[in-house]
Amino acid sequence: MFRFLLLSSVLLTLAAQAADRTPTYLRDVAPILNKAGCTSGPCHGAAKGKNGFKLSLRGYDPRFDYESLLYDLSGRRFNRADPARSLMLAKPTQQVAHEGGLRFEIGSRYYETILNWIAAGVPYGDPARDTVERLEVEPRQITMAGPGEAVRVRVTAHYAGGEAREVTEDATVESNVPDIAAVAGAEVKGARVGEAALLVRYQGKFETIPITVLNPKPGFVWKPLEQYNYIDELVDAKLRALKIQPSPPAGDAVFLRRASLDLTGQPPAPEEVRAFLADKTPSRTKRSRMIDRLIASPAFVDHWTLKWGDLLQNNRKYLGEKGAYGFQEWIRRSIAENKPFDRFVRELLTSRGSSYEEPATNYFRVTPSAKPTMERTTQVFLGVRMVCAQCHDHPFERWTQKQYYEMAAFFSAVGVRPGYEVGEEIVYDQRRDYEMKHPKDGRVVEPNFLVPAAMVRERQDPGRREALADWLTSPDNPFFAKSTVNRVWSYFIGRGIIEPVDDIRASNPPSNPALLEALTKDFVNGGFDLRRLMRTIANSRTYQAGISTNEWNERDFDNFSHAIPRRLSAEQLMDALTLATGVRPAMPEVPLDTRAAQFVDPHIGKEGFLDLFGRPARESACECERRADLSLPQALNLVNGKTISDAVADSRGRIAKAILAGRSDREIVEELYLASLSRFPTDEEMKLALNYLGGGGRGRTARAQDLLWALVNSKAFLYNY
Amino acid sequence: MTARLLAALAAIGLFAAEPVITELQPRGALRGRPFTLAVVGRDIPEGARVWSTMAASFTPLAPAGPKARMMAPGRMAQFLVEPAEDVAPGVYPIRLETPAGISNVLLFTVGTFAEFAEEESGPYAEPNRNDTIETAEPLFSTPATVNGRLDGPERDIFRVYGKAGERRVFEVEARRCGSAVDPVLRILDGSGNQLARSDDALLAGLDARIDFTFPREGYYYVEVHDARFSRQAENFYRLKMGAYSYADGIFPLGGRRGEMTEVTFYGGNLPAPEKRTIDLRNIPGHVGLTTVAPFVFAVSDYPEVFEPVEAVPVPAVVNGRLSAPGEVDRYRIAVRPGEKLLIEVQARELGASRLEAVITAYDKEGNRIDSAADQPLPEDVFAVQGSSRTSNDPFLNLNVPGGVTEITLAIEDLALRGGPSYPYRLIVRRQAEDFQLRIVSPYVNVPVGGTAIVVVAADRRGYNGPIQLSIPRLPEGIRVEGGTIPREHVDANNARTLNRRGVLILSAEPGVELPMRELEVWGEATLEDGTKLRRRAAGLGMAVEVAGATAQGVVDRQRSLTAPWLGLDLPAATTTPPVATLEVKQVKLTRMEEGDRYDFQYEWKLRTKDAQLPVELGVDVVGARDIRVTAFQKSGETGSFSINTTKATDPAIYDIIIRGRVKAGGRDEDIYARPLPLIVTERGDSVQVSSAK
Repeated sequence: MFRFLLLSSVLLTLAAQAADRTPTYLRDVAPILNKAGCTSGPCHGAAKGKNGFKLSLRGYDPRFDYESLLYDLSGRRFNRADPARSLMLAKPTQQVAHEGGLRFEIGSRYYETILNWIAAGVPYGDPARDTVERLEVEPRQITMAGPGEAVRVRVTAHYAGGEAREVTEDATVESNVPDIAAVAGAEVKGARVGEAALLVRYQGKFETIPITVLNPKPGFVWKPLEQYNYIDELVDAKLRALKIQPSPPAGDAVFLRRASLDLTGQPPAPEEVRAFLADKTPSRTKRSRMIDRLIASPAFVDHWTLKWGDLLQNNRKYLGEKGAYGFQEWIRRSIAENKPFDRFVRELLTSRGSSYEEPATNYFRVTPSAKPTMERTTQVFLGVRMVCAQCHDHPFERWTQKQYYEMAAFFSAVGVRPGYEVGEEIVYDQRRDYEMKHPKDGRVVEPNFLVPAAMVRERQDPGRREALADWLTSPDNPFFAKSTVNRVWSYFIGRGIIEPVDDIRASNPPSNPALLEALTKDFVNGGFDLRRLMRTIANSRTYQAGISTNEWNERDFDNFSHAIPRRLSAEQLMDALTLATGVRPAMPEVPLDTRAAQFVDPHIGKEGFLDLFGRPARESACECERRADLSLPQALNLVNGKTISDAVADSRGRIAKAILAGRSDREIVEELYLASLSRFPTDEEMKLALNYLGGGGRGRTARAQDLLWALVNSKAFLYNY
Repeated sequence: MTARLLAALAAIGLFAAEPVITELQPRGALRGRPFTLAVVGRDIPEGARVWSTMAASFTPLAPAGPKARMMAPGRMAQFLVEPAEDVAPGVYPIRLETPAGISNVLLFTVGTFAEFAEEESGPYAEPNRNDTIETAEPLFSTPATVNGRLDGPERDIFRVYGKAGERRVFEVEARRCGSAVDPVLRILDGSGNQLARSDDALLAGLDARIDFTFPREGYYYVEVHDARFSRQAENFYRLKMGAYSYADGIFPLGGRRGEMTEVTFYGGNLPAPEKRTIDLRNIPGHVGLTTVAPFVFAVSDYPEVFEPVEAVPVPAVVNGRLSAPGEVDRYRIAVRPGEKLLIEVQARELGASRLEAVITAYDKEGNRIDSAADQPLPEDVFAVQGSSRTSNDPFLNLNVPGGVTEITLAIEDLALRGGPSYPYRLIVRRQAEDFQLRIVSPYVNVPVGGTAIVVVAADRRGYNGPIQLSIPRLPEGIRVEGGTIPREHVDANNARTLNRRGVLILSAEPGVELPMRELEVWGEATLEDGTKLRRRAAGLGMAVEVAGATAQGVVDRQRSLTAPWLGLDLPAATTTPPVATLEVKQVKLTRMEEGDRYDFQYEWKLRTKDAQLPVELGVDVVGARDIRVTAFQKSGETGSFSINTTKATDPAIYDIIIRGRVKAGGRDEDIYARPLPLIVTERGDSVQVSSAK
């Protein structure tokens, strides 16, 4: 208590001192311009400003803004003789026409501050004293007993000169999930059960405050489930704290279909389902063996080659035909030999030479200039989006424009020249005229890491890209391993621990930090072994949980308490359709029997079924480029489209073969269920199907085709659940 | 034979066209064995003769076999080929000579292994029959060569048997023997797992090779497919397998004409490098490349020196190699201030080096004077897809600065690579400006009483002035016109005009007959100091189209497959008269403020009544920019058009090439008028250029 009183008195003293001080731009006026919205993107913070007046976005460059105010318009924004008649006050108070409307009233605190500042001669302030060094937000963590509860936050700014003052009114407070934690001014109100984060910003500094809104329902009793590995321990710990009861594991058939789709991109063949279900080995053991088998299969290589082809933007549009095939082969070989992920990335980043002889060089052909290459690299391998910082300091992160160019400078020497063969290009390091220049003043920007690089080993004469690769793939890099495990986790669970997976920032915290930390550590200790990581995830009870929910987890979508159905990806859907109907894949420009997962790039089958179902165009490194939405055109295609109707009625397809082989109705029904839904039909389903097949009128073949058509149009086929 | 040829000549009808060959069956044969060769194409009359550099007799046969029976007349000729005993293994051109002219060239390979044909390539074979491991075609004997085809995006899979530890070389020859296929070779186990893969094997160009040791006894699967799964007209490949030796390196990459040159073959699976002597004593003066199967070998006329060399004499050819990654070879050269040197590297273009060379010249103090091929190319706004661009071996036109008496030339790889496969030839000579010429048309048939076009490309090496092309020693009755390549310069908009193409029009008087004969094309230029520079154009030998993808917004332009090492200039012959001739004359010149207008009239002379004449003509003012062709008018067999220049049109004399496509007898025939000069003078200059040439 004594300590608190002492601190309060110190703060009050400092505040009192501050109140006596002459207002400065840096300390007093810039926060007003930010809070009043003058520096926002739609207003004067726009790239070209607004109506001839340009400020830096969200005031990231106060010196620039100050000089704009002072010198633009020939310095006519201020009336030193009569400060109240200054344009800078007349505009926001709408004494003269202002497209941005009324920003504050005459006589308000903001008005008076600016008036005093003008009267004082518009001093800029002393950066060594008036710059905000850090924010302090109270409370540091918010836990609410249930929806409806409200908490008010208090924001204190600490200045370089030692001053501290409350700035709650002038700070920006936002919630990352407003339907869990709604914000009004500085008050946060629990809207529904769940977790969210508050982002508190003031003068380029920010703090993140986690919020938990607990389930107020009484009667929760934790019923422990078997924990298969450390993932379950950490997930359970969080669930228990949030009063969420996880769902038990799904049945064997569901597991097999899910694991096959997630690991190999295709559902199991009917004979594999039969064998797995007939296997009397204890379920956990046989599931674990199946995971190993799937990981060792050629389809695993195809599936993950496709995935990395997306992220690395393997596309003939950038690489030419042969380049795209060569890059695909390089990715495939890397996955087939389970190349450690740090080596995989290092080889990409440090690649040089002919795109035909060293296909990893194709990485640089996708974006032959430094800035987009840096943006892709940070987004794909660090989960960090730097693109905002190209024009201004990142509004929601600590990244500055300077850092953007420092990171881009690692790639500024990369040159690409045509080689001798058609389509061949040589990736090399330029000898001259390659330095990165800052756009504002044209000075050379030296390469520098995003965060300090104490962990990087010393090299004799490291090339820029070698140095970057050392830093980026270092076990201590705070982003590399973390973003990788987060991304892989999302592929298996349907949601990242940080979501979106390629937008890691302080204002987007993980839903389960302990889990992310443990997975990251395990990945690093395991030698960046992606197969090992996938095996660990797939062997967890969390991954194997059913989609059925209970009264305690039915509204949980963030904490992995139950499986969430995911629509099959475009390629999974096409390959599953091929398997279900028993047709041979035949697509122009690729050999017969080439599955969709094996297509080299989005050119194959362009503007057809695959694109309709969200295949990425590979024109962006963003994970979001692959769409998993549901649309009316998709539904119409499934119901009426040629892809399905032709496959179902194929003369050499599953039904035609079964009929010609003299199979009974029961055998046909069973086969169709196994091939499409990876399970046996229930008794009820069998009865219904037999009745339909045995019905009069149209022929048996046509009725079997109807049944298969219905199955592949069912949600059980279209979803991985 | 002669009687048959004469009979065929007499039978030539009005529309008999020059022959075209599209396929040879087979594409190769075992050395020293007679074989039957079917030449498939169109307009192949009875009595057609084979021209080849292969020492062999080609005796025409009556058509036989299922394929021949299916063929329409004029689509195939068969020959019994009896090679001379000493025919060397290698690649040979096959061309047909007929009374209606000469055909294109396709290549035929003489090999050292027994030859087989892929079953799928047979006349009645089911397509895709060996596309899977389950349906793989078994190959029972080794060594062997299998001649196969890739019909579009397909795979051919062959089953072979190997013993544990057995080493065998699998190699696909395609581009090297005239196929448009860019092969990929894979070896798979029975489960489809890839055990080995080759796309572009070391020093085999785009062809593939795998030196494989079977890990255990059993069946293995050898797969061949095109790297782009493209569909090609020339879609054959030759899959060789056997326990044979091969080299994948050669040094030096060339030698001096008139000398015996010792070369070393190395690498591959040779236990030790092997030396051979190459006889360059009888290489003709115009030939810059020859073949040392399977490598191309450069021939020069300068002294040859070898790395390391203390001080390089000028002129000279330095034979060097970047032996390790990051290596930079440096050569000192004594120079005179102000003199001009042409420094060229030969490496990648010869096919036996992976070097993408960078040339840098330094003064004695280590200051960079100039460099070549070390910067990204300027953006080509006209390129639909950048990846279709290519770059050749670099050259540097060096102007020695004042006060510099010694330079150091540094040779390095663009990506700082190096190793046994990075040899090069550095050619240094005192030559301020130069150019090279390449005949884009691999052969020409000149219609009797008509005209034919020959396109020549210039590779400017410092010389940017006009070049006049000519064909000396033409037979009587054959005339050549056109052939002006205007100067290249930076125009008022700071854009470089790229004048690197010239067009020659050959015409044959009525009644003239020209059996196949090689014509030489020369280009002449006058340097600033008045020195005449004459260069002989190199021929392509052949040109096989390589199809690129153009579908769905992707343009992947491919380069035609050529064979300059055949040493052919411009094979020419006369062909049947054209269905029409086109006569054009300039009738008016109107000078205007914004440019000049040249009015032309033309008239068709038809040899048949059913000819369909075009509405417009194709008018190409070779090398001219800021030109518009307007006001086409046609009335019956006559018409007119105008050519308009602007203020920005570079004053020069240009060739006007005028083409009309006439349809007659179910064919399209391009008819060229004799070229006219377009004389563009300086604006405001009242003095007319007095003569066209």
